[in-house]
Amino acid sequence: MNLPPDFGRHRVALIDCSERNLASLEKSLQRLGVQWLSIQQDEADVPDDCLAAIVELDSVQGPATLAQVRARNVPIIVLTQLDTLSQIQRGVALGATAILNRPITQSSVYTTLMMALALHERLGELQAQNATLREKLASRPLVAQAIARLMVDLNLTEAQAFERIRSLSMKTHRSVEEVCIDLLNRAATSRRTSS
Amino acid sequence: MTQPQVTIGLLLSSEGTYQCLGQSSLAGARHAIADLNRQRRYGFELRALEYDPRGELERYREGAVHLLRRGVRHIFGTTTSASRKDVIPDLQQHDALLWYACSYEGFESSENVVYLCACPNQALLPLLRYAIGEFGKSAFLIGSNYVWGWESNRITRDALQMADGNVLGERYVHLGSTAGIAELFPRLVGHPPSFILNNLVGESSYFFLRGLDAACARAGLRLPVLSYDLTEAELEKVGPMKALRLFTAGPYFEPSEPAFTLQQRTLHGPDRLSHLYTCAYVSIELFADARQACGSDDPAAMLEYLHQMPVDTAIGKIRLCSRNNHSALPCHIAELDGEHFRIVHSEAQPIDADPYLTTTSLQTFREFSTDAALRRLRIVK
Repeated sequence: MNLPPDFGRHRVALIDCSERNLASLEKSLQRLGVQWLSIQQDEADVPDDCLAAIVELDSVQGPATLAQVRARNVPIIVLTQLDTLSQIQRGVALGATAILNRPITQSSVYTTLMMALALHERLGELQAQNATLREKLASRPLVAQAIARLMVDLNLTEAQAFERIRSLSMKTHRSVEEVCIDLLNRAATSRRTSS
Repeated sequence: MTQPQVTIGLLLSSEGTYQCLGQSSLAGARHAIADLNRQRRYGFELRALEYDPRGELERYREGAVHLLRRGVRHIFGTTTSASRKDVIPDLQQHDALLWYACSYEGFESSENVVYLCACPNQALLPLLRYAIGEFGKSAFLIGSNYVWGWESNRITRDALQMADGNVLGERYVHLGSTAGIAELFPRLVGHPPSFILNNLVGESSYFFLRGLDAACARAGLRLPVLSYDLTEAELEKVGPMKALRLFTAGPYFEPSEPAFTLQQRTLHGPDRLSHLYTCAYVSIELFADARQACGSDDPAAMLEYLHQMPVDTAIGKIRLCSRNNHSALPCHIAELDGEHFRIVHSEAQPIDADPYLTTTSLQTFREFSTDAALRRLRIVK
């Protein structure tokens, strides 16, 4: 996590927490200087300033609230009294990046919250990286096609053809994929004109 | 001559959806206290302060605090995991010990709890191994919507996956509820799995077993059901089965310790015994032995003694594991036969507890997999 979150402008949503756990969480968050909002059984919307959501897994009853949390990509912490593997798996399936066990203490709330935020951010970065790599992988046949075109049309070796595409990309400040699309389009147009 | 009194606390429910379990544990603890006091062999008399939480979760903590404030340092009881977990912080605060004698789903080893009944590797896994070997690898899983059901079903899913088996369906029902259970019967009778794993608790379980039995009887179907943790104490609620083959597993059944069973019936009447009764009885035996050896009720000293010295009990010698405060236990698999359980398999040795399943490999279920079956095939010319 690069910068600590702005706790003054954001709130933590406490979702479907039992009376006792809610009291413990409120006490801890107050002492930490973190603002919160309790949402029970889908009775309210997740606020726009929601920094993270603490969901009590043992008593969760609000499918709509959870759907909102997930749709807005809000980091999720699950609270549970039970530390069985099945509960951990349920938490992970819900999209949680941290688990808060009882007894709830000020320090456990803080460390879990910060860990959840950091891991959520890291997960987001990795997902974005993954998407870029997937795009690159998908464009591999495009690059190969463009290289082959240049090898045939200009009588170049594979290395020379790739170097030409790369230089063009750098000179024109366009991605390799964009250059390839352009090259292939031009080749197609010239083939159509000559025929 | 009057003997000095040693006070202990009993925290067990006589009401609620799991009242049969609570009452059986309570009878075991009370009868052990009566028997040991009558024998006068420890040099002290046990005196129990009782608190009945009436099956309400929030009353367990209240009960524990009530007992601890009266100077009790050893509490015997709680039935569900939720109630056990609720009282642990107070036990820690008062340097007290909970003697927990019910089967549970594992994933705990508190320094303030002595665990005296089966966790999954001591009953569920041997039962699954038996069932997969006898009936096949497709299962339907049903349980109370509670950690006991979630965890038992998860372990079963993992074991079946190792065996290349299938989970045909999984259903959860609110604790004590019967809503929606009857709707399952046509499906289970129409497309029967190799076996059903039933982790329902109390009234939900009795309703499921009675209803499914009637449906199977109408269809002429003998369906195996593993009601992991069902005991003799609940058989009156279930009634004799006409069609279901009902299996269970635990450290004690009436025929596994006939001398103890007969002795208890002679001393305390014809009520059914169970592993809950017996494990509660054993917990009092262990306490009395350790209390005498240590000369005080200091929990740390008593635990140290029990970690080192095996104690003779109603189900044989019991020693606590110093790593996790659990006891190694016998495991018997029993099938309901009329109004009694008949033991169909007993593990050769008591099984060490592995509450986090870190030393018990589910890989052993691979022997039921298709690969293993193919490897066993021989070419016959």
